[in-house]
Amino acid sequence: MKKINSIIFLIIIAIFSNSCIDIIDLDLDTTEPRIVIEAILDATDSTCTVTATFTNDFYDSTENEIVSNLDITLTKNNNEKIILTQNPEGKYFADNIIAEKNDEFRLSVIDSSGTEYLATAITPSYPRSVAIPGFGQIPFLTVFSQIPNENATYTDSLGNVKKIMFALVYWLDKPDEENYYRFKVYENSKYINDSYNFIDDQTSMSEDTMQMGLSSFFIEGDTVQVELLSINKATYEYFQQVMDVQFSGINSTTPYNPKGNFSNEALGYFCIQQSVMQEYVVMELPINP
Amino acid sequence: MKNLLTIFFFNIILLTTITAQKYTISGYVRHESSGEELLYSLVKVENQKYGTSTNQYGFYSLTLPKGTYNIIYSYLGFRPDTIKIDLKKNITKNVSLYKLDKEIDEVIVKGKNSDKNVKSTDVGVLDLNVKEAKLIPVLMGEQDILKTMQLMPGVSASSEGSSGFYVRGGDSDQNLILLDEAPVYNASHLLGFFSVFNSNAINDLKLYKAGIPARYGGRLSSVTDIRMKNGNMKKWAATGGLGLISSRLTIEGPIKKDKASLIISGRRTYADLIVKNARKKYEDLTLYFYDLTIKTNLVISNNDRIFLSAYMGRDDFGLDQFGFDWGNKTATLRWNHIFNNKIFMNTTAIYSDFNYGFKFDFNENVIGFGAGIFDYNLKQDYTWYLNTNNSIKFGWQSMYHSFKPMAFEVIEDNPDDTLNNFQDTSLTPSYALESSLYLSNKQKIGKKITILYGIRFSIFNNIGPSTVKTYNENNEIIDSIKYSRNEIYNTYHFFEPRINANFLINDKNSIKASYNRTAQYLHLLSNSTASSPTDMWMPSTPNVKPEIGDQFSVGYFRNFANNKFELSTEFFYKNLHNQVDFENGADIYFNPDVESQILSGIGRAYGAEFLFRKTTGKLTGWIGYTILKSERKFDQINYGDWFPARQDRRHDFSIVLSYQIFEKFNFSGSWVYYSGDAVTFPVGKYYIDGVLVNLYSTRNANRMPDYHRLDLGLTWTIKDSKKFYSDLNLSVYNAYNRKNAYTINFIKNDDTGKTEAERLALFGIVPSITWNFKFK
Repeated sequence: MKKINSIIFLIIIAIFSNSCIDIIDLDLDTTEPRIVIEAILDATDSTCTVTATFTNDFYDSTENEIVSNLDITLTKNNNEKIILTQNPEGKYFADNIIAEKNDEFRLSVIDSSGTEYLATAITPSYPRSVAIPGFGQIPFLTVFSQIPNENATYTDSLGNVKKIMFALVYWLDKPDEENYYRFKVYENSKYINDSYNFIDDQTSMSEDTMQMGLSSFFIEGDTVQVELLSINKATYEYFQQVMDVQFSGINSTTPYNPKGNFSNEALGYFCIQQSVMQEYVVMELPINP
Repeated sequence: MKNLLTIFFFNIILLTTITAQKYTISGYVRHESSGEELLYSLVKVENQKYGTSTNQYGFYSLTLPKGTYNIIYSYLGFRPDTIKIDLKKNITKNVSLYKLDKEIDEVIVKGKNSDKNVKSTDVGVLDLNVKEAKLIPVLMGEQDILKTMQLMPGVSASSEGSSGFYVRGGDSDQNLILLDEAPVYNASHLLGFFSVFNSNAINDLKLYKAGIPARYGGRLSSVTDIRMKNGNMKKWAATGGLGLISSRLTIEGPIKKDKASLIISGRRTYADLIVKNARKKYEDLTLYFYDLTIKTNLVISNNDRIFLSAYMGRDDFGLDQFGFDWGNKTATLRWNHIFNNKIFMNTTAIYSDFNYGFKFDFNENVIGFGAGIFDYNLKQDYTWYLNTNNSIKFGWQSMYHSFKPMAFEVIEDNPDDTLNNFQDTSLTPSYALESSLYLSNKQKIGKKITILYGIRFSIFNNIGPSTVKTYNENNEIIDSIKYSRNEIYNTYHFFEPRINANFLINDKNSIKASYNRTAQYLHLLSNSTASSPTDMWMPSTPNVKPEIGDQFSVGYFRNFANNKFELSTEFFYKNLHNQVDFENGADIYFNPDVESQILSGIGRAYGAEFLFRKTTGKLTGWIGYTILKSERKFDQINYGDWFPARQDRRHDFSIVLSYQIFEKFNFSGSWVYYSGDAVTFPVGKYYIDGVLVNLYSTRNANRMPDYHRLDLGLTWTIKDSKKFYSDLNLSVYNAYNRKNAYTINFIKNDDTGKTEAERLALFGIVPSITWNFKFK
């Protein structure tokens, strides 16, 4: 809704005003660094990766400092303990974690001063697969179409004219449970983070068929990977807030810090996800699911 | 409180029966050439303390001891008229005033300027003359009375170019805007750049910033009472204007001379047509607004008049398969009845709505969704001119609100599509009844003191069908109770005392004070910084309490040089209760449990206003200054500490001048300056999923850069004869091209990887030209 308002607003400005966008020098306050924890337990490939950094000043052009010497422990269903160890890149890691649907994990992060940041999450279920004639049993179907505009083409460095496409994904929702989904797009295995694709099963078009338009554009002939993630509710809500404060444009809300599931005012989130990836060569398909 | 008032009124009645023989002179004061009523014009007895003014319908009544009097009728911009009356019975006297002719009246007017500024009980009240507003330079040449109002102290534009406004540190949804007594829920077009009021159709505007009379209620901060023209009773006339982005046309005249009149006024923008032809990119674009007002006015007898007025305005936006439109509709049916020359009654039936809708094509289906508020309103107002020292106003009002929150509909269904399984996520409508009773008296005590005191009792009922939910602190539903159709399931009521007092030191100096309590039962759901038509009104409910405000105001008023100059200084303090804000990340659009995300807090605002004004002569204008502090406090925000409200603009200065250079040329200019809004800037940054996220600390701890802007205007009267008038208006908005920040975004530059503060300035220099005409 806010996006719609922003778009109309921008068009009105484009028509009626001689607006101007420029970069200004603005003094900003600074604050003590705060800890940011991004923790992802991938139940499908049985790994847990935790990245911890400090916030820095807004105009600081150096990379955010990685927080080392943390004691990070994962506790499964209140008994089994798993210790994460820091790798040379500064990330904390553990593998061979068996996480099944409804398993509860508690992540404890203790810093050198003894402060503990705690987060709890429940393992979501693995996405349902669907049988499509001609495709077999697949987790989801991605359909690429040219953007309905005659100019939606791209000319590459060799002078080839290629279509610019958008993608719709279709999959099946698991009935009788609350599900939250996310799609990630990779180009040549590199994750494209310029847009987010999150959806809950409340916004489905019908009872169990889910449909979503991905917010990235694709070039005909490219090889891309599309990943479907089934995520826990806290992560879904956390990213809704991130989008709310960072992407809402002109019609912005009063700014705030997205609140994740960590205790003690730690920024960031602890996500448990199930993941499945499909690779595509981008082309128009003559089917309509 | 109630008992005291009863005793008081009894005393007054007793007093009247034992005093000497008195008679009443009453009637209407009108514009000579059009028959239009002159609202709030002055009626004074020469060389005596007696006097009154016409009410909001142009009616006056003055009761005097038997005798012979010279009665002076005056109205700003009109030639005063003195009429000799031999009062030995009750008399009806309708008076017509002639418009000032500059050459003839230069001498006559001298020494007879209005001393209303000093003598009325009005505290924190602004009278805006539509004529005066016409000369002030405006954005894109589109005259806008709400924007002129923003140049006065205590009133401030909510953002650049916007017709939304803040009054004395209140929120923008705390302003009641009435058009011919019908509430207007969204007073702006094109997301705020133009107000919905077509200046050609407006007769009068009065803004109450404090001392709100008991007959008004429903909002905390202010009341803007706008009256449409009634239409020319004498002859047919046409007024209009051609501008760069819009045109206006008003036709008015008598259906039957002196008995019935009709006025039709319309306006439409056409900027999209120009853009469409100029740029292929916008070929499929629709973007315009229009508004239409119609009013008819019937004189049934000397004592009865009927008015029917209607307003309709709509904005329409469309691009490819997407459409969005929104607008207001109001209709007012009014019956003015004079019982005898002392009691004036007005009965009004009102319909008012605001709604918006979206529509888009999806797999050959057309899906729409939208929301709205619909009101049915019945009220009666009585004015009882008891005697020279007391005039009593009383009345009642009952308003039925129906709130339609976000609802879906399938406009065109494609039977081959999966949409048959479409999940309807429409929210359920809600209903409420808002009623009130009021009683007030304006009493003169001796020669020096006038007091306007009154009380309003307001009551608000939530009406079923409804499901009332109880939420725990995690916003989960822990209980819900269902209520059936027409069942009253929740009631709020408040006594709202109002008092204004004027102590006249002498003819040129007065001190005034006021206190008023106001209750607001409707809240605007908006959590964005810019105003938007999708901001929707919702009622108070068992979970969301009504907003309450108390305001104390005291002022010193002084006129100089035969009332040529007016000076006023006012101080105010406001206490606000049950203020509304939202939890972080609240979803206010498709959320059936939006109530659970509403926070309740308190607020306070205090400050001072200064106004120096010159109303007559070749040079007119004013200098206004406001110093203000406005704060809010919510348990869940800022660790429960006080924080500045967005509109906490410490200094707000404006100067408006209009100068008649030559007979045919009028030059005008306005300059505004205000301190930046309170906003929240980042204090740091971090990355989530590789994306920049700003780190914030305290709410509204930072300030936008200061705002200032100069507008210039030149009006050339091309022709002004008996039959035809035309002028050309040139205006320049933001004459020295100040880049005022509309928003500041904190972003990462993808090319350099640096984090930067990016300013959006909406308007550079905007010149415009408008041609106005009038067939008289």
